[in-house]
Amino acid sequence: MIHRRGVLPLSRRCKKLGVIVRILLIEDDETTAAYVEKCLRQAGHDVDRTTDGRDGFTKAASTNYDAAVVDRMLPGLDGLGLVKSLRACGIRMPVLILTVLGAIDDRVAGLEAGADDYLTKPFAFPELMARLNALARRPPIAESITLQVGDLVMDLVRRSVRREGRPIALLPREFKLLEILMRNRGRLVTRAMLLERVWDFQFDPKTSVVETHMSRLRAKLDRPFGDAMIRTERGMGYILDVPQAADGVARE
Amino acid sequence: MITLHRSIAVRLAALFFVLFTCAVGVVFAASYFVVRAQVVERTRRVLAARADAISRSLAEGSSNVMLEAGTAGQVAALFDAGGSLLAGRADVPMILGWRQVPGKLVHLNEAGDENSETALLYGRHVGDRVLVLGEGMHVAEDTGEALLTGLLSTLVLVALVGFAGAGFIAWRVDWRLRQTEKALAAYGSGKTSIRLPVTRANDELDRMALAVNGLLDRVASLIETIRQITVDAAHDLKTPLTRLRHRLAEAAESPDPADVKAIVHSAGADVEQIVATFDALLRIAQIEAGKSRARFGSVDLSDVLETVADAYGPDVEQAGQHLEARIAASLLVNGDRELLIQAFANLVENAIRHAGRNATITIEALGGPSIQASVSDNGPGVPQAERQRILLRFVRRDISRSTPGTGLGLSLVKAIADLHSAPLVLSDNRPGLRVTMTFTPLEYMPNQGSNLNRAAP
Repeated sequence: MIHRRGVLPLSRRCKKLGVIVRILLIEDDETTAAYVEKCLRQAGHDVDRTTDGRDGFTKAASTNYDAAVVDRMLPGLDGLGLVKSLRACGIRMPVLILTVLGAIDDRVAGLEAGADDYLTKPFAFPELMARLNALARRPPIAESITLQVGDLVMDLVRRSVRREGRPIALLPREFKLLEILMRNRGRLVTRAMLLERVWDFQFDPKTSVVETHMSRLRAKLDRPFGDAMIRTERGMGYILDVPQAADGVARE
Repeated sequence: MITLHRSIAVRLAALFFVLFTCAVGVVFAASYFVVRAQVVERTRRVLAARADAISRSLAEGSSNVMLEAGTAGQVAALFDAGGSLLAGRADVPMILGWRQVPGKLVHLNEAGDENSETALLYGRHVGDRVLVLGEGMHVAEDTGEALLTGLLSTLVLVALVGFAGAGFIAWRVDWRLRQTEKALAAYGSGKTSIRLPVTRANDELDRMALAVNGLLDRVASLIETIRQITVDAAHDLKTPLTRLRHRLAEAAESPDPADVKAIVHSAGADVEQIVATFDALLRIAQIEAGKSRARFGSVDLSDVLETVADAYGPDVEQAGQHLEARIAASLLVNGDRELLIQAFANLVENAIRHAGRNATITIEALGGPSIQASVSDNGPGVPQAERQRILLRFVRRDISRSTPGTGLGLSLVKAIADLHSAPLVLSDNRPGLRVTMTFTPLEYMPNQGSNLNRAAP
């Protein structure tokens, strides 16, 4: 079976990337909730859905979910209150808050309340999935000194990168960019996630900031070695993994 | 017409009229009684002096000569111990001490114009006899009457003037308030050009009118801004919405699934543009609301500018332009890091879009008593007349209409600058445009307090 790069069916893409199994979805807008639930199920996850904040809290407190997606505005108990209550009860599951667009103060309020990430509506489903995946695989607190993907090795202490043993000189932001991709190996990292984490951009620039930096990174990382570790998911973001071509060669 | 009980001015005027009349009445009554008492007192002294004189004459042996020698209007009588009249007038009763009797009781023999209502009698012992003298009280009565008439007519005059004055003041105040009422009602019904009348008196009503007029100006400009934004937002959103509608119609009719997919994909781009416009509008509104100031902390402006320069470096090069960054180290300001990044990013994006190929874009920040952070280019620039206008929402210069953009970028920069109390100045870079924000460094701030200890959010 041959797929063109980046056009894997959604379900397969997400199944392949995700490790989350049970997700609690607390969202009072029926259409959004139904769409998100459908997509999550297609991606192979179990979804519990509720529209009420209090009911959501009861569910979250009694069941062992892998992550929760919580709308900011909810009947009963609002999203922030819910996250605060969960954290107060010592429940540590990753929580992603959804909010209406443009609410800049909400983001900080959400993170301060104890949420792990934050997404503004309207959002594309792959963006939500990518963020959930990133949450589920947060690295443990004791971080290792090196990151490795195939023959690509990053030394976090010496700030050096080698591929096939050959050093690659990177600028600080390129290093940061690559670090995020390597930490999310095999999983989609969206443009918005990179903008937030590399440059603190909490907005969508009209220009191709990410694209230009990524092409510079590729020029150093992929081009000299003749294969591509960084794959573009058109319109969404990037995935770093061992080169597919090399995979293919290995299998043959 | 004045509704009497509903007018503060009328109530005040009436109250002052009543108080004034009462006060004048009391003063007049008091002077009437004092004057009358003095006149009566004089009559008493006259009678007592005459009684003394007669008593002396009687003691010297003369019998009734003196009694007859009284002036007109006076009467006298002498009684023995038994009460029989010895001399003088028979109609005078025998009394001791002072007594007032009706004038008709004793025949006073007064001149034609003197007609006392009351006679004052005074009786005393002279040896074993009793002397009674009497005099008409017409002087006291006339004085009192004249005084009363004078006072009463004055009171009526004062009351009339007071009433008229109070009425005039009430009417005048009511008239001016009614003008205010009318003007405000007209304003409320949409005539936002109307202002309250202001007289040259500069009294409290004028000062109030001036304050209200200031408020009306502000409200009118806000209404105008909202109207402009609403109209412009509707206009700006209609374009992508129309495109979206056409694309969806096209997709509905297209027989080729691959075609449909492509159309839906481009429809997504239209939605993105609509969302971007809304997002920017909401952000501006939120920033203008000023709530973000609560999260302000110490921000390294140098790092903000380095980040922006770093992010856009490759973009600038790709656009065939050059980026220069001259940024002093560790410029600390009180602010919101993310918003400042967005503001400078917007400025650099604007420069990339409008400065043209081969232009040099310069990001510059110098420390000192004030921090001047600027983004400048040596492109075509913006004419003086248009520099203020392009800060308004949705205002795009005609020559930029062909490039993508919401027309909100600079408005957002302006809102962020205002939030940081950093004056935003657009100036001529000779050639090109220079946009400068002037910050107060954190070290120079008098009330830095806890902000210094707080990390940037």
